[in-house]
Amino acid sequence: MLGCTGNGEVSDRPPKWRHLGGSLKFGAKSEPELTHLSDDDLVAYMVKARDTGHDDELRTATGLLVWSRHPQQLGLVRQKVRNEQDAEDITQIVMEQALKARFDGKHAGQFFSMLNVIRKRRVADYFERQRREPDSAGPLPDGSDPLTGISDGDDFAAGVDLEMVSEAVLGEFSVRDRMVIRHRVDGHPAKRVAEMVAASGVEGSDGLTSINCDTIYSRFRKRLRAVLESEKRSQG
Amino acid sequence: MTSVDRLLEQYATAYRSGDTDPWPYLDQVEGDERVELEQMMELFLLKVEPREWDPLAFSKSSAAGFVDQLVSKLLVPEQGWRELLPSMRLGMKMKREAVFAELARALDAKGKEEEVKVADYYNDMEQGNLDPRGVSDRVLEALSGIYGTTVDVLRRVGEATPPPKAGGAVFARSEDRDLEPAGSIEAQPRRAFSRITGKPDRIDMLFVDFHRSEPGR
Repeated sequence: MLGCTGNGEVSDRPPKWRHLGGSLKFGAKSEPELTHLSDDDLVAYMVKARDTGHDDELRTATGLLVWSRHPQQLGLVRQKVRNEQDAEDITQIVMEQALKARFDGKHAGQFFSMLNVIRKRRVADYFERQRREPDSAGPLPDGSDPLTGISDGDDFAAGVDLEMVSEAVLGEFSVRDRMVIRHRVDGHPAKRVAEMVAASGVEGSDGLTSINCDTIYSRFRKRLRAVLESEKRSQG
Repeated sequence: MTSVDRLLEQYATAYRSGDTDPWPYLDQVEGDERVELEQMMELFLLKVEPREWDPLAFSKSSAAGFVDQLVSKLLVPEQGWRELLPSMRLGMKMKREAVFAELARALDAKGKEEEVKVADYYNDMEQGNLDPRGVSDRVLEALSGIYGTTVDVLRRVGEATPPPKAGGAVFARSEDRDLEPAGSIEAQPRRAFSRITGKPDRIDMLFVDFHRSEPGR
C-alpha cells in the first residue's frame, strides 16, 4: 500500500502515464488553423500550451477565443443589464471564470454551455447585489465559484433554457420550415429568407414566398411562446 | 411584418456592424411584444456565428488588454500549485495514488516508508502546504515527466505564490532535534506528527530546503 490515502502499489511495470501526458510535444498552430477549431478544441489547445510553457501560443489562442465570443456574450448580458460598463465588466468576469473552470480540470461540459451557465449566474448576482446594496457600483461578482451562487427566485437565473426549448419546438417543423425559421431568427428579412431557402433546393422550397416565410416564422413564435409559458408555469 | 420582426431585423443588422446595445430596440415595445422581442434577441444571440478573427482590429481593441490580464492569470493561477497540480492531474485523468506511484518510482523511493513519504509530500504540494522554493528540481523533473509539463512551468507557478505560513503542516511535521540550536529547550521532537524520525533523509531533502525553511523556529 502506498501512502496513507492510497492503494497505488508501486511495481516494476513501465510508467503507463508517460505516453499520455509525459510527452512535451506541443503542436503549435497558425492563426488560420486556430480559427477552424471549435471552442472546446481551442480551450484544450490553450491548456496544453500553458502546461508546456508555450506562452505566446496561449496568448494567441486566448485572444482568438475572446474575440470570437465577446460580442455575443456582451449582447446577452446587455439584454439584462442596461449599464454599459457594468455589462462589460460582467462579460469579462464570465469569460475569465469559464476559462478558469476549464483550466482547473474539475468542470466537464462544453465551453459554450459553461459560458451560458456562468453568465446567467453572474447576472443574477448583479441584480441580487443591487437589491441588497442599491448604492453599490459595478458588478464585482469576481472571486465566487463560477458554478455556484445562483440566486433563487430570479426569473432569469432560474428560467427556462430558451435554446433547449427552441430546439424542441423546431423539431416539430419540417426541414424546409426549420431552415426558414433559423434564417429569420438570424435576423434576415423574409424576402431574403425565401431566396436563401429556394437556393438551397430543399424539398418544398419551390415557390416559397416572403409571406409563406412570415407565416412559418409566426407559427414558430406562437408555439415557442406557448411552450415557454407552459414550462414557466410548471416550474412554479 | 410585426414590430417584433422589424426590430429583430434592425438589431441583427446593428449587431453585425458592431453595436451590441439592444435597448434602442427593446424600448420601442412593451408588454407581450417586449417579452417576445427579448426572447427572439436572446435566441438570435445564442445562435449567432462567433465573430470572425481580425488580428488588426483585435490589437487595437480593448479586448487585447483584457486578454493580457487573462493570460497572466491563466499562466500563474492565484493559488499556485494548489490549483495547477490538481488541474494537471485531472487533465490526465489520474488518481492521486497513480501519481504517488509514478513519483515514488521516478525518485527511486525504497521501501514503504519512503513511498509513503513521497505520497505525503506530494499531497502537501497539492494542498499548498509545502514551500515551493524548497522543492528540488529532481522532484519537478519527475512531475513534469508525469504531467507532460516543464520544470520551468512548475517552478514559475510555485514561486509566484507566497510560501505557506510558518506553523503550517509541513513545519509541524519537519521539526527535528538535530536541526535545533544546541541547548534549545524546545528541542524535543514531536515524533507523532513528524515524517522525519531522525536526520532528514534523502526524500526529505528532495522536498524541503532545510536551510531555507528553518524548521523548528
